[in-house]
Amino acid sequence: MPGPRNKPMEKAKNFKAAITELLNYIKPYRGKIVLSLGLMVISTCMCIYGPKLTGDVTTLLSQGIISKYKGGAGIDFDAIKKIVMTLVIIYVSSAAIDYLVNFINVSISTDVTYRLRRDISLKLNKLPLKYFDTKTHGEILSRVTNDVDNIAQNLTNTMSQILNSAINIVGVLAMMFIISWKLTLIALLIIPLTGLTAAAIVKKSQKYFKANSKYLGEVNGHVEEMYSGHLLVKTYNYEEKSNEEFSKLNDNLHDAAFKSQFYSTIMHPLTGFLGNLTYVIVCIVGGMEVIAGRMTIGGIQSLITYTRRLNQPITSIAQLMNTVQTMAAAAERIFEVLNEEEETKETENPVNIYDENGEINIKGNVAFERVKFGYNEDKIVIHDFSMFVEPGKQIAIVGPTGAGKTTLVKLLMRFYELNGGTIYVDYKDIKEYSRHDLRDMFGMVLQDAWLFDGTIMENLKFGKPDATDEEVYAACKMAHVDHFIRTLENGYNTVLSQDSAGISQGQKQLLTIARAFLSDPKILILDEATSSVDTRTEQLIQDSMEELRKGRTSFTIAHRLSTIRNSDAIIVLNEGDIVEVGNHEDLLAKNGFYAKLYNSQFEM
Amino acid sequence: MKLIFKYLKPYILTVLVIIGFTFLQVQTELALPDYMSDIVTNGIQYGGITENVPSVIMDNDMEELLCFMSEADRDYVLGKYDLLKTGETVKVNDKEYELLYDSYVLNEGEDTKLKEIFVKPMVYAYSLKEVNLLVTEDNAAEVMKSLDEQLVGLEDNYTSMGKLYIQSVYGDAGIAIDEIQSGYIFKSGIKMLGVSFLSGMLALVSTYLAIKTATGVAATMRKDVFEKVESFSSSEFSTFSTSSLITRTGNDVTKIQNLVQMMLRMMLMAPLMGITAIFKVAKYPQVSWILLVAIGIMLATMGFLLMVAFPKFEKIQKLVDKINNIMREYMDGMLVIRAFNSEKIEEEKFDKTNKEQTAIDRFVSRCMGIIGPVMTIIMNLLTVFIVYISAYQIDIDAMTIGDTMAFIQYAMHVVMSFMFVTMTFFMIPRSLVSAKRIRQVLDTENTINDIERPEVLPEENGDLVFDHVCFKYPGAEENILEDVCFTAKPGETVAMIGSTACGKSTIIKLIPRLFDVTEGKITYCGHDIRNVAQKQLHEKIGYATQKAILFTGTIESNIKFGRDVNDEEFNEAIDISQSRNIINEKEDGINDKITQGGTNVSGGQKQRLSIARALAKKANIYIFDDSFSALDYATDKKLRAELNELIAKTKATVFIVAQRIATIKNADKILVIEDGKIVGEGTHRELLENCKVYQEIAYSQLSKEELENARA
Repeated sequence: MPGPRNKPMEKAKNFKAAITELLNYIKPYRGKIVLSLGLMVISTCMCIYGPKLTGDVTTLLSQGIISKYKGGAGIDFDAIKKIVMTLVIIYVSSAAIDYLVNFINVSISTDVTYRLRRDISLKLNKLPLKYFDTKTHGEILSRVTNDVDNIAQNLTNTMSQILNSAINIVGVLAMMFIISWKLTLIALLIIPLTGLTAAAIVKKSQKYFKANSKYLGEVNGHVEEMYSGHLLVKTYNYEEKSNEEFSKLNDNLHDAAFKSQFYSTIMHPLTGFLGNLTYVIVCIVGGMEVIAGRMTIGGIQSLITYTRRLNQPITSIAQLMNTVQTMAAAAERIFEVLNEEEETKETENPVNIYDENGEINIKGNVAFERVKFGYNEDKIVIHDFSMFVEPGKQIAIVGPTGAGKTTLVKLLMRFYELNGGTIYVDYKDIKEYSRHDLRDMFGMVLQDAWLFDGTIMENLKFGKPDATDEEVYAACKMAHVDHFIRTLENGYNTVLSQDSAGISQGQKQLLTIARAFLSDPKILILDEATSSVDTRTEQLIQDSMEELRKGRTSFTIAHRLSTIRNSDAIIVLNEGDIVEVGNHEDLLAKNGFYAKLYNSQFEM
Repeated sequence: MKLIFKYLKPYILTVLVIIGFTFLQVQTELALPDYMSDIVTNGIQYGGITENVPSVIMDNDMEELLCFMSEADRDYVLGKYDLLKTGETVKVNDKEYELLYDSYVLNEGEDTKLKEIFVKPMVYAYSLKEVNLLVTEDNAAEVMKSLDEQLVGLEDNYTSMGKLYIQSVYGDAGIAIDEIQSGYIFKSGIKMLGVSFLSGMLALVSTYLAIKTATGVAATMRKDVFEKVESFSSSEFSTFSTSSLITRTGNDVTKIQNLVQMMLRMMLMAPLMGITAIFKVAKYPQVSWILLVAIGIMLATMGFLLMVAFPKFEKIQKLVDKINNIMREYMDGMLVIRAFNSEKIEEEKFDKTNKEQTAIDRFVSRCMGIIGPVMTIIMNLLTVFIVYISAYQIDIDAMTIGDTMAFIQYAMHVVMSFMFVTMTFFMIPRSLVSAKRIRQVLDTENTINDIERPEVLPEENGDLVFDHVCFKYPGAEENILEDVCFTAKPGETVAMIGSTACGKSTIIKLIPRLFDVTEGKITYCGHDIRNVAQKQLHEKIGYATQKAILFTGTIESNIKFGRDVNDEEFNEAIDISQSRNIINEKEDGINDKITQGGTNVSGGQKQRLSIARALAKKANIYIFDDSFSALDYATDKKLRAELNELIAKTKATVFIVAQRIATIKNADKILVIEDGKIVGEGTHRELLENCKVYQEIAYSQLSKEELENARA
């Protein structure tokens, strides 16, 4: 088997807290855990007794044969048979119990894993968007998969192994003492030697493992950069330089890989040698003891088995400690998510927005009053913004890339909480609605059209699961996408996947427009297509959006001058801040940032 | 596998040494149980007596023995022994003893005849030890007769009884039998210690060599893969995905390293261990059969798991991916999901997969859980049954107790080896997948190569001509470019516009020979670019890619990118690319660190720095592949104005690919591309008049009125 892979150890920041929390989490399985551990103790004890009995058989044999030479009774086969039967029963039942323990442990660990995954997924839905700004998707994903897996694999195993090792050490030592205290003491001198050697090597190898992963990271980094910049490497004749650099990094890695591997694998020959040393000493000293009549031949045999058995839990305890550490680190990260502060509580008595038919009954006016907001408390981006939007009005939001055009939209739908001021919809503070109802009033089409793995039909009904197929067709006709869908081989049942070939970015956006049509919102939020869509599809998108805006209050994040000009009001943003508000003519007349932005397209 | 052997070739000597050392290690390791057997049987049971006839025997004892012998035998024996007097010294096991009584001492070594003569008399004498009976020549026949009845069934035990007898006559002769015994045990012990030390050293050395070889193979392989990939043109590069190439250079090579290490250690040792152990146990066929049963049970268990549990592993991997996908999807679409109040749908979807995975995990874990108990039970019961079966062999002295104890150790080695060999059957095919993936890279033939005697390009700039160029991506069915013809003159700015995937970027990529044309030709200064050394061609070109890429390093290292750039050129590049204020913002100016992937600068800044990199090269041809898209209008405008000044000075040719009409309006020549064909060529104004596609693009971006204004 390959040497132990001692990755640099991860440590929990607060080991005790993490473990306590984990133990709390598995409290519901208390009964099962106690049962499993109890059974394991029984089976381990039974197993520990085995070698002693086997040794007894050997002793019986040796005594029997001597007595036979002397004309005595010879070997007592009946007694041997009896012991052998006992041994068979012990071993078979202990194996059966072992499997039972495994069975129980598996059900606990898979159950805990299931619950952890479920709890995280439920939790993610309740976290404020703000949380996701500070974490990368990869980071969160790794908690759901790697960290949960880590706990799943180690939770029950570690518990039973720690107990198992402890019982083994105590039990085996006890048995050894019974057989020969002298030899036990000698073995006890060598065993710490094994432990210390193992610990020293682990410690030494940690250093090289760190170096190894550092250099591996550097090599991978270089490879990643050079491959993703392949075009540049080629056209700038950078190949030789890059190869040179790689050679250097590769040599470092080679050296570190060798050292780390060597130190981790060296453990086997070394502990093996120490194991043999014990073996030899047992043979010699045991032999002397037998001559002196203080021990039996069977005792030697049992001791050999016991000393071998003693080495294993001692080396594995060192590894178990590592496992517990990484598990604690994983648990800490998971509970960090689970204990994260959730979105602010909903109001107790939300305003009702539905009429008796269950239709949304609002007019659709929106007001911002002295709104103050920042993604960070100490970095306010909207300082003091007020504006009233009458129902059915069209608002454009413009500004250079990265100016924070989506911020307003996120505030409207209460994805973030304001730092000051109020937003009203239909003259009511948006905090007086439940989040569900508030979001029900809005329809949204985003620039990078989000569709999930599933059929087109499922995707379209996403916002309105009870819609009839006819309603879906009608919405698609209005979004100019019905024809396209029908040209697909499976029509509305075409399955969309992460990289659905044959459906362009523009067409995806049309689908999201149809989705918005279907949910028939009072207030719209639109993000226009950018340059990645070809001109014809872009025209279609423009037309459909125009259609969709009719009769609804709309906020459009604009990239096209034509949209801006026809809007009732334009909100101009720069570097996250609202710099100007007004209609096209007013703003041009003002000759401010908007005018500059607008004119820069024509003056060459 | 062939690939691995190819890379192992330079290490052939080391590998042979490893094989030799491993063989020796196995032999030494497996010699230990033999020594133990020796200590138990010869040392403990027989009191360290190795000889078959006593080398010293008291005269009384000898006389008793002689009674049981024939006349001829007696003469032979007496010829071999000398009678020494009390007080004289004799040597037994290299130790001197003073004789307490008159004794017979063996004058030479023992021989077979002597051994045969002594067997029976010694057994008689041994049986009489406990009985107080004086045997004389007269009653000898009678005694022998009665003893023969007593000894029925003990025929197989004569040798052992002989040893015990010798031990007792040594005691009678006043020789310290304790010393003989402990001396024997001690000597065997020392030998054992030496052997186990040797075995440890051998293991250490072969481990060292194996790791040296494995990491060496990995380093060479990694270097080869990397350099091969670097030598790829875009044509070969595009047949793999970037992430797959990264995995092949990194992960796959590491897997090979582990495989080689395992091959050279465990995969070598396990069979050697198994085979040697089998030879050792084969001496006792009466007991060995139980080993076959154990191996059979073990193989059956492994086979069961192979059929039932292993196929599920693939499914587990798929479900893990699915869980990941749902999560990723959820996070990407969080805004939409919350806006549509659809959290429930997502939760249900996740829960379904979660349940599915839990169920399959549980099943597989329960299957795999069998291994532990089964292996323990096989080992334990094997020991018990070996002892039990051997008991009958010991009874008839076909085996000694030491043999049994050694047999148990060998049996364990055999079972473990079998287990390991079966395991490698699972592991090797998995690792070989990596080898295959690496071979795919190494076996890829480069399609774009320099000709033998490349033509040399002149210093000054010249015409770049596309002459009826057609191009098809490798593996594609249809041409992406169809009959493209145009000429770009020194000092000219040529722009390309068209919808996504129309082929504009492809045209650009043909210029530095990232791909070679499939039909037609591209000439520069009158030379077909395929006849020019790639290195020289690249010298002439400054390229800013579609996706701005920065490398780990500093702003300066990114702009210079491995070339010598003088300060003047460097500053000019920074100014024209409008990067000056980026640098001013930074604490360390041009020495400010850029992290991997340039994550610490914004998209617009990245683009400007990558333009600076292109400009820092004093090139004859500049290519900007949609490089202005993330710049705001004002910066875009300023940059182009300063770029024009530079071109007026250097007479360089500029290619611009763009989506925004505003960016290209002032180009000397605009090529309108649709479906891989040039559908319009001319200036902005000309195209507005006569090119329908151009008009459409323009109208979608600028209102008609604004276009009129612009024209006026």
